Amino acid sequence: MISLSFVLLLIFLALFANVLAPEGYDFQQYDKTWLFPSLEHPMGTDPFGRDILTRVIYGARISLAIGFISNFIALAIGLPYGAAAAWYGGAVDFVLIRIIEVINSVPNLLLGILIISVLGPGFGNVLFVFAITGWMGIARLVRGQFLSLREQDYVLAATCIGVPDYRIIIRHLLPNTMSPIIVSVTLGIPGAILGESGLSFLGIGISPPLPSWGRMLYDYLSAIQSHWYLAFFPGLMIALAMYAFTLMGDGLQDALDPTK
Amino acid sequence: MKRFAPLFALFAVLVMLTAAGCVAPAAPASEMAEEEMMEVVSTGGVTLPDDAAPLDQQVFRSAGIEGKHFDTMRNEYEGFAYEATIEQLAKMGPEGDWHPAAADSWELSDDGRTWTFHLRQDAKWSDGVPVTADDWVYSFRRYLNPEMANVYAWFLFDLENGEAYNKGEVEVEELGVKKIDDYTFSLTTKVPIPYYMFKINWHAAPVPRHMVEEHGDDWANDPATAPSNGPYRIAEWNRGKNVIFTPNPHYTGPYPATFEQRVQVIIPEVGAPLLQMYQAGDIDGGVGVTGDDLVQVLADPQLSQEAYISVMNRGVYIYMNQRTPPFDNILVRQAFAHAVDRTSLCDSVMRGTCIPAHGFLPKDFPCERNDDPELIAFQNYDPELAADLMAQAGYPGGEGFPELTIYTKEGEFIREAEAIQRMLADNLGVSLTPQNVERAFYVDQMRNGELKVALNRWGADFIDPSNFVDWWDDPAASYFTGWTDEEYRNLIDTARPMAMSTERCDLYHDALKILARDAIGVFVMNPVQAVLYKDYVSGLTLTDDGTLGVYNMMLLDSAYVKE
Amino acid sequence: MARYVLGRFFGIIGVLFIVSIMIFLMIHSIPGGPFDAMPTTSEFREIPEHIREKLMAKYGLDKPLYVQYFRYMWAALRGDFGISFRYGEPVTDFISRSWPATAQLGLSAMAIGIPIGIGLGILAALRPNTWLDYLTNVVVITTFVTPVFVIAIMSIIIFAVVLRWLPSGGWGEPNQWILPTAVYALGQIGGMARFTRSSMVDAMQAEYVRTARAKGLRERAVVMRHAFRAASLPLITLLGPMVVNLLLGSFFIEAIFRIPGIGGQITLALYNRDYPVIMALILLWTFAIAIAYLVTDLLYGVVDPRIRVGGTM
Repeated sequence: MISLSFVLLLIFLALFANVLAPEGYDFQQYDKTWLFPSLEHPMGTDPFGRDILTRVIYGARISLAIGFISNFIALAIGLPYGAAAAWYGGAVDFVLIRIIEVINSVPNLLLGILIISVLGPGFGNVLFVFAITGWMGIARLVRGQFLSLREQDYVLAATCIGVPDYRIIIRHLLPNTMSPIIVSVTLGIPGAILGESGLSFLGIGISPPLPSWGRMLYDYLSAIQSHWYLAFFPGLMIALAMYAFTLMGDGLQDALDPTK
Repeated sequence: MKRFAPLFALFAVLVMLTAAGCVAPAAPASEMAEEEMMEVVSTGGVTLPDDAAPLDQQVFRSAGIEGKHFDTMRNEYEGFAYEATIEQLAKMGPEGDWHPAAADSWELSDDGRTWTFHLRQDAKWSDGVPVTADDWVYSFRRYLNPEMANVYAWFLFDLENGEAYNKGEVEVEELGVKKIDDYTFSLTTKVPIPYYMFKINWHAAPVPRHMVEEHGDDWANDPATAPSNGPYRIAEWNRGKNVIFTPNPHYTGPYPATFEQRVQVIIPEVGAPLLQMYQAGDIDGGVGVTGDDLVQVLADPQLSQEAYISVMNRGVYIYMNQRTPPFDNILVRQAFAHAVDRTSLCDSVMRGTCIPAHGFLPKDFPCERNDDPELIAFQNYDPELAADLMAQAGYPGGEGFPELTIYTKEGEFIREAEAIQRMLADNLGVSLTPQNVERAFYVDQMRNGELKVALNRWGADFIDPSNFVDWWDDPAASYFTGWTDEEYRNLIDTARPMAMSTERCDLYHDALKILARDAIGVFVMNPVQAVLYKDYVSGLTLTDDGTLGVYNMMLLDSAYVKE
Repeated sequence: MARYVLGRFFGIIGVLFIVSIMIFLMIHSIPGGPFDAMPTTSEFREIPEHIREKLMAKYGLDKPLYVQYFRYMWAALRGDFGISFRYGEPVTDFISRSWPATAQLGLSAMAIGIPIGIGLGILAALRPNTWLDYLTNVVVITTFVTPVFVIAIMSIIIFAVVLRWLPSGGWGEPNQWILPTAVYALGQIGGMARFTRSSMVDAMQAEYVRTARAKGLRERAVVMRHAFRAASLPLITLLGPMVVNLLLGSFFIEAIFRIPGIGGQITLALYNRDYPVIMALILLWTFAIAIAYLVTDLLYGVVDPRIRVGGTM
C-alpha cells in the first residue's frame, strides 16, 4: 500500500511538476549556488543555483516517462513475440528465437552505446535503447512460461476438444503467465530508470538541462565528499522509486494470482 | 620570459648539480653496519637527505593510461611515464631554464637555424651499449620516415625538408638532421625558431638503434628489448596493471635515480576514481585534479595541504563554424562573446576551479596580456550590448535564430555548457541544447561541418605563444572554422622567427586582439588544476615561489620518500 | 538428443555469421573512424592526410567494406582476429591476457551471489509476510535499487579512503579482489533473490505441492523436490544469460576498480573505434550467449521432462 501510494505520488509529481515545483527546472541563480539544504531550499541548490527539490520533482517526469514508455513498448513487442514462438513452435520458434539470440548477443550496454552512436544522443533515443534491450527478456519469459503451460493437462484437454488457439491463449495461458510478466515489468521500469543513470555514467544519457535523476546522481557523485546533498537526493529518489515499483510489483503479483 | 633567478635559488641549483654530478659510490654493507650510518644512498648513487626513509620505501607510484608500446618516436598512442626512462638532450627546470642532460652543451648557428648538440660521451643504454649521435640521427629520421606513418610526425615538420621527407618527396639525406661526429649532431630548421628547444625536448627521444635493427618495431613491446638512456629502465610491464621502472645501472648523467622503483599504475581511459585512488594511498602523487575533484581537494584540510594549485596552460573557448549561418555573421559571434558571464561561471558555478578569460592565451603564458582593457572590451560580459548586437544581426530577442546543439566531448566542460546555454537563452533568447558526445563522433561531426558550435579547448604543447596563435591559421583549423585573415597571418609570420622580446609579444598581442575582436572564438576561461603529492614525497624541484612550474622536467629528479 | 544439439550447434554458427555481418556494418556506420584525429589527446588535432591514408592502408581500412569483411572473416576462420589499433597486439593475445581477470571476478561473484540470492529468495518465499521476508526484501532491494557505479564508488570511499582497509582498485593481490567481488556479487543477489522468491511463492501454491504436503511429505522434501524444482524453470531462463554476463564482465566494475579484464574494454574499444577488438569481443559474447541458451534449453528438459526438447527438430 505504501509503495502503491508512493508510485501514485510519483505519477502525481510527474504530471503536475510545473505546478508543484517551486521554481523552473533551469532557473539558474548564480548568487545561490552550491547551497546546503535550508528552509528555502529543502534539498539545497545545485552548482547553477537551481533548487534541487524542483529538479527532483521534474526528474520524476523524465524518469517515469523513460520507465513507462520504454516498458510499454517492450511489452507490446515481447508478449506477442514470445507467445507466438511458444505456441507455434517448430520452425517459427526456431527463427524467432534465433532473432532474439542475434540481438541479445550484443551486450545491452554496448547495444545502447551503438544505437546512441548511430542515432545521436537525446531523450527519444534513450527511450529507444531501453525498449530495444527490454523486449527480448519479456519475449523469452513468455515463451518459457507458455512452453511449460501448454503441456499442462487442462491446456491439452482444451486443445483436444477443439477450443480455438486464441481462446486457449487468452483464457488459460495468459492469466497464468501474468505474474512473472508483472514481476518482469515492475523490475523493468526501475531497471530503465537505473539504466539511464548508467548511460549518464558514460556521458550519453539525457542531455542537460533536462533534470534526469540519473544524470544528477552521476554528475554530482564526484562532489560527494564535500557536497553530499547534490547527489544524495536524486540518488534517494532513484532508490525510493525503484523500491516502490518493486514492492508494488509484489503486491500486484499477489493480487493477480489466479490461484488465490 | 626567463626571470632573473634570485641568488639563493642559483646557489640551490648549483648545489644540486654538484651533488648530482659527483656519484657517490655506495659504501660496503659491513662498513655501514659498523658505523651505524643513517645515511641512505640510493641504487642510482644519490645520497638521500637525512630524513629519507629506508631504501625499500623509496618507491614512487603515479597513475596513467596504458601506452601502446615504449617507442616514443612512433607515438601512435601516448601514455607511459616516459620522463623516467628517456633522457632528452636538455631538461627544462622549474623556471623555464634549460639544463644539460643527454647533451653536455649545444649551440645555435648565426642564422638561427642550425642547432648543434654535443652529446655526453659516457652515455650508455641500460643494456650497456653506448648512446651515440648515430642513435639520435637514426631516431629523428625514423620519426619522420613515411613508412612509419607516425601520427605525430607533423611535430617535426619545421625541420628542413621535414614535411617533404615525410610525404616521400625527398630522400632522407636531405632532411635537416646531420651527424657531425660520433658524439655530435645538428638539427636545421626551415626558418629560425627561437623556441625550438621546447619542441625538440618535448617530443624527441633517441631509440636504441641496435634493438630496432634487430627486433624491428617489436623492440618496444617488451621491456627486455627496450633499453632506456635515462635514470630508470623499464623493469616490468604488467599489461593492464602497471609498469615498473628501476634504476638504470649504466646511467652516468647528471640526474641519477633517487627512487628504487617508480611505478606507473595503469588506469582505464574512462571511469577510474583518481582522487580516491590517491586518497586511499594507492598512488603517491602526480595526480592532476580539476573541476569537482578540485572542489573536494580545496574543502579537505589534508588534501589542500598536499595540493600544488596552478592555472592550466589551457584555453577553453566556444568554437563556432563560420562557414555557414548563423555564425558567418560577425555580429552573432560578438553577441555570443558579450553574453557569457564568465565571472559567475568560474566563481559561482565552477566554485573557483577556473578563471575567466577574454583572450586565447592562458594566464601567465608568455606574452599573455589578458588584463589589457582593450582586449577585455572585445568580449566582456555586457548583456545589453549582446542583445543589441543580436538585434542588429537580424535576430531580435533570438527570433528566427535556429535551434542548435552545443557539443562537448568526453564529459569535459559539460557543466560549463549547461551554464552557457542558460546565459545565452537569458541574454540573447537563443536555444542551445548541450550535448555530450564521444571523441570520435565529435571529430567526425567537425570534419563534415555538422558541428556548428561546441566548447573546445587548446592546451600548450610547448611554451611559446606561437603554439596557440598558429593553430587558427593552420589549414586544418581554417577548414573547421572557415576563417582566414591576411593581417593575422602577417602578424604571426613576422613574430614567429623573432627572439622573445616585447616587440614579439606586441605582434602576438595584436593577433590575439584580432581573434577577440572578430569573435573567432568566444574565449571563456582557463581551468585551474591541483596536482597532488603526498606529504612524504619530499625534495620536489619547485619554482622560487613554491609552485610546480610549467613543464618542469626536473620536478622529481631529486625527490625521495621522507620517513 | 545428439541430433538436436548438433542442429543447434549449426544454428549457432549461423547466428555467428549473421551477428558478424550485423556488427561489422554497424561499427563501420557509426560516425568517426580510428584514425580521424590525434588519439588520446583531447585537444583537437587532425592527423595529416598523407599519414592517415598510410594508416588506413596499413590496417586495410581503405578497401571497400565487403572486401574488408571477407578478409576479416577469412582470417578469423583461421584464428587470426587482427591487431588491436589501440594496444598494438594481436586481439587473441589481448583477450587471452584480459579474460582470466574477468572470469575470476565473475566466477567468484557468481559463487557468492547466486547461492545467497537463491537462498534468500527461498527463505523469503517460505515465510511470506514475516519479518524474515521483509528483512530479505529490504536487503535485496537496497542492493538492487542502487546503481552499481554508486555502490562501487561509495565502497571505495568507505573501505579504501576512510577506513583504509582495502586498496581502491587494481588486480593481482588478493586484497584487491575483495571489494570488486563483493560489489559485483551484491549486484547479483538482488535480482536473483527477487526472482527466486516470486517463482517459489507461485510454486508453493501449486496443486502438486499441496498434494505432496497432503501426502505427508516432510516440508524440506516438499520445498526442495517439488516446489524448488518447479520454481527453477523461470530461474534457469534468468541464469543462462546471467552467467554469461558475469563471465564477460561489467564495464562499471572493471573501469572503476581498474581491473584489466575484457568487460571494461568492449566499451572503450567502441570509443576508440578499435574495430578488431569490438568484432572479436562481440563474436565471443555471441558464442557464449548462444551456448548458454542451448544449455538453458537442455536444462529445461532435465528439470521439466514434459518439455519436448528437440521433439520437432
